[in-house]
Amino acid sequence: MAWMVLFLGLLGPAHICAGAGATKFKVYTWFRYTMGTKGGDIEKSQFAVKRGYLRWEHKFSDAVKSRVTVDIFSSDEGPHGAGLKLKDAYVEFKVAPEVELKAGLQKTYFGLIYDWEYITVEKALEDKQKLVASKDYGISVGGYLPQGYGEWRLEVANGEGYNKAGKDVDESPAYLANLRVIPIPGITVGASLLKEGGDRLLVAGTGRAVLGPAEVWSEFLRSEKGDVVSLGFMLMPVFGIHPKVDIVSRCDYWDKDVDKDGDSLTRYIAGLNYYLIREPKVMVQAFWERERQEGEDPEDELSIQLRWEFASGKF
Amino acid sequence: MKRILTALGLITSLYVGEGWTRERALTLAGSTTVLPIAQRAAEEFMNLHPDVSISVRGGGSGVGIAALIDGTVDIANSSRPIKTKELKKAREKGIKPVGTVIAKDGIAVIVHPSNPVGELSLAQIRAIYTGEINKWKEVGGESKTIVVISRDVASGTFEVFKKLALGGERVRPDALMLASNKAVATTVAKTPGAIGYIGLGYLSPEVKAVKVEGVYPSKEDVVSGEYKLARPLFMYTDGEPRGLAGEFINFILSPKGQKIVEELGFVPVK
Repeated sequence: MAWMVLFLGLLGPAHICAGAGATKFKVYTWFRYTMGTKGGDIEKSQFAVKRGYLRWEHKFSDAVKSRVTVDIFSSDEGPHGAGLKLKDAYVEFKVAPEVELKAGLQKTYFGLIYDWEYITVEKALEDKQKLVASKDYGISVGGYLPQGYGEWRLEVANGEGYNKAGKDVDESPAYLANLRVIPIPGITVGASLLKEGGDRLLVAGTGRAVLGPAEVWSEFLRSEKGDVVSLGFMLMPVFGIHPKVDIVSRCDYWDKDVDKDGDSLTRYIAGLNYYLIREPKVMVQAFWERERQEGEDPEDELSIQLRWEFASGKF
Repeated sequence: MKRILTALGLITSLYVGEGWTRERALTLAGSTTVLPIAQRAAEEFMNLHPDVSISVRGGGSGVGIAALIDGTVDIANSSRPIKTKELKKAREKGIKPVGTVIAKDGIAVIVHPSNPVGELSLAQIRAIYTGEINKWKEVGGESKTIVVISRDVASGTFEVFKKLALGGERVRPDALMLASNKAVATTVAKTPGAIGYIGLGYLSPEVKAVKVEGVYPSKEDVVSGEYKLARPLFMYTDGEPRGLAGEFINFILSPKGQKIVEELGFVPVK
């Protein structure tokens, strides 16, 4: 770790002081209606702005750029009825052709979480089951395989995620390795590993197959923490039935402790995405979701979301 | 709440219905350098095929390639080869970008017609654009300060100029970054101390093109490879050009299409 910090200390300022570059920004927002029921009773019916991201990216030179993203959201949990979270705050250095080094608050390069596009309104499985957070504080090195055959990345991060800082972070860093290969166009396979301290190991295997308007995403997860081993998978077929309409379904399974009975969970999601504009994105998402904890009544949720974004340049 | 949901459903179904109409249509987006070729060729092609509707947009090479990957255009116009990152995104989505060279373009380095400097080496151009040289007298000219004009960073012309002329080095921060070839030509024509760069197709008597490494930016020297600041212009399709996209690209590569290329000041490839 020390050599990385020293390298950044030497390289960073030299590039940054070289002069002004180009800055662009992006805004994206989700406005959602949610109706939740359990055992047939309505437990939730509300409108909310679920996401209000502001992103700035500055290119100091071809070799150095930086990104900052903040999530501004309404919340009645704080005294002012609003909250603010830092989601990105990193600088990226091109250290060799097709190889870059990132330092700061950045993506967690694991499984599907780091480029999860919210094809349904639901989070990636590892995010939903709180195995990893989408962003974390750390340093990473990664790049692309020649001819677009895939990508790789190595990362050292806190492991606790972007919303934990200071006293909530333990002394053990998390080490991550991620590899994705695209052997033929339309077929992507990936593997990720996260190791933290002596007792936490997380492994993911991912797959994506695209054939014309149809695609299938899949993910297998295995988590080991002390003596507890958890297993799960996600399968998500997507069908583009029209240039503006995708039909999506998803099935999740998660067994919290493979040695115990009665703690598994299943989740079914079905719905559609309607793109009013593809780029920049203005879309409507309508999804029904059923989650059933083993031995309990199922919980249903209907979400209808208007999602839009705009930017001053291409991100 | 039921009424709101019903209204939302109705609005959505109206929009969906609107998009289901099918026609013999072709959509292109991307490089502003390729734009005039694509526009003129589209007009001629639609005259020959009245049943065809062709929409051509600019936006820059990166925007065009992103649109091809998203499946929102049939052809991406680009003044640079596709990048590895873009190839990876395309492969993930099952897109196989295939580039067809439809023309060649030389990037002419231009100065005000009153400027006595008529030749620059690549090293001198690099020194001017990176800020090492600030006065024309340092390259055999008058004692005027050099006003450096460049294309903006989204432009394919900028990327190619940076690669070929600057060896990847960054343009000086006080350079004036303009959004089009035309804007660069107009500004240089009005500014006696200015230097800029534009595609060959934008050369006019109002600006003076200088020799680069002793070679004037002529079509012959772009084709022969003698002129160093030259590049191919691409049209990218998903797979080998087929169907209407294939017909259109074949038209541009035909004698009639290549005549359009030449009339617009670019260099034919056939």
